[in-house]
Amino acid sequence: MKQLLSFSGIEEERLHSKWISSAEGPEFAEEMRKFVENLRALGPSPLKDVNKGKKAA
Amino acid sequence: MDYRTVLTTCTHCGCGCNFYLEVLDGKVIGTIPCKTSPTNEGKLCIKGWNVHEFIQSEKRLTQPLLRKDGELKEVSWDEALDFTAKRLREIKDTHGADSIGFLTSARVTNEENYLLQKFCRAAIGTNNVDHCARL
Amino acid sequence: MSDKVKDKVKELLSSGKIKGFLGLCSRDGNIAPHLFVTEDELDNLVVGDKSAPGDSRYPLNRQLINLVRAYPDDTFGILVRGCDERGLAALASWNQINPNKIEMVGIACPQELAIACECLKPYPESFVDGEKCEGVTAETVARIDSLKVKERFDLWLNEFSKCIKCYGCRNICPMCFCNECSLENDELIRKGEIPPEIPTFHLTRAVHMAGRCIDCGLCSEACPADIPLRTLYKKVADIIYKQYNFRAGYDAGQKSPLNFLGGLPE
Repeated sequence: MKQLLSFSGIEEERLHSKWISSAEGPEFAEEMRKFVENLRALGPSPLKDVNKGKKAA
Repeated sequence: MDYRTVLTTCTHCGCGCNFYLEVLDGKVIGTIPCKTSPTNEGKLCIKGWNVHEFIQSEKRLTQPLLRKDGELKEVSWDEALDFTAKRLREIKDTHGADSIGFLTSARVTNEENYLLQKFCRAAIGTNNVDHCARL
Repeated sequence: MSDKVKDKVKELLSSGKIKGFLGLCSRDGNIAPHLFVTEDELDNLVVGDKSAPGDSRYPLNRQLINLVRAYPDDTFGILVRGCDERGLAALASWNQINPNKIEMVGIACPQELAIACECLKPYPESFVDGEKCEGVTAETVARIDSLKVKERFDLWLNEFSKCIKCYGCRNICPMCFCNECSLENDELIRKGEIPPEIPTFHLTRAVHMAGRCIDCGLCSEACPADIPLRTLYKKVADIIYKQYNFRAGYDAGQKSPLNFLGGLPE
């Protein structure tokens, strides 16, 4: 998925997948904190305005 | 077993895209755009791609409908045509030819459209004719 | 190059081995997909080269699925190029056809077509006509790979923006056999929204082509907006090859690593 996103011109860092057990709450929280930090550093998605102004027909 | 691919022209608009209808044992099962057609060169729009679905739709009208006591009822062609002719004449005689207008369709042939405008202008006597493709 | 194909089909039909042969015929000035059931029809058999080699190929595998679903006990013959053969192998691995009930009559593509297609294997395992030519790697994919991420984004945004959501890429695809299609799932692709959401529509389809696309290129040829879909799916196939060492249809016995329906690949 990351490679396909990258090929399509979307930074692959915007997708993150990791296996975490449901018993590992703190690890999940830490992972999410890091992910959000990374996303902030990347800035707004290039897709943000792409579909703007489109209405369902 | 009888499997055929039948070359035909799309009825949805005036472009005239060509495609093959896949017919298996008398039932139309698919649409394949014609690669060698100079019009569409193997491409179709979403309407053309789905032509095989409407052809055999049970929702298609197979008989004329006439509203009687507020309800649409199936009637014979003779009855429908007699009624339409009678009412058109009455309306024309009472209110004039320009009180009648005709809307024709992109889904019929060029020749049928020609006939309708001819009927409208020559038989009824009005220029009130338009077409759904003139959007 | 159709004479040797005609001889082979004649032999198959006269021996009663096949019920019909799905191929191409010259008819009314066009090249049409056609089911040959008698030997005398074979005069009009062609291999789909009208103005250029392979310019009028049809989704014969897709038509074959329609036939075998209606007549599962009969054996059919079919004209195959390298891509079609891969398609049949992949369809068999997805349990869509019974390979024992199919007689392939192969032709090898000329180098010119292999270059135009950037085809890795422009010939079937066995063929009655044509000559084996060199496989070609995908320059189009390499070119996009070499761009910066922003340039890639702009390129695909421009391409996807042309989409009229005709579903032609899916409708022509010989590997699209699902009864329910994700592209018609309202949760993913909103119904009645034209043009489709970018890039959701195209990437959803690209993901579904992973481990499935056999690189026949009919999607690109059917696209009225000339979106280079084939390049996108070539990349997806490359990713699957890199990750799982698998290319759809190249090894007849092998299942896709993404195919869990028939059990995990061995």
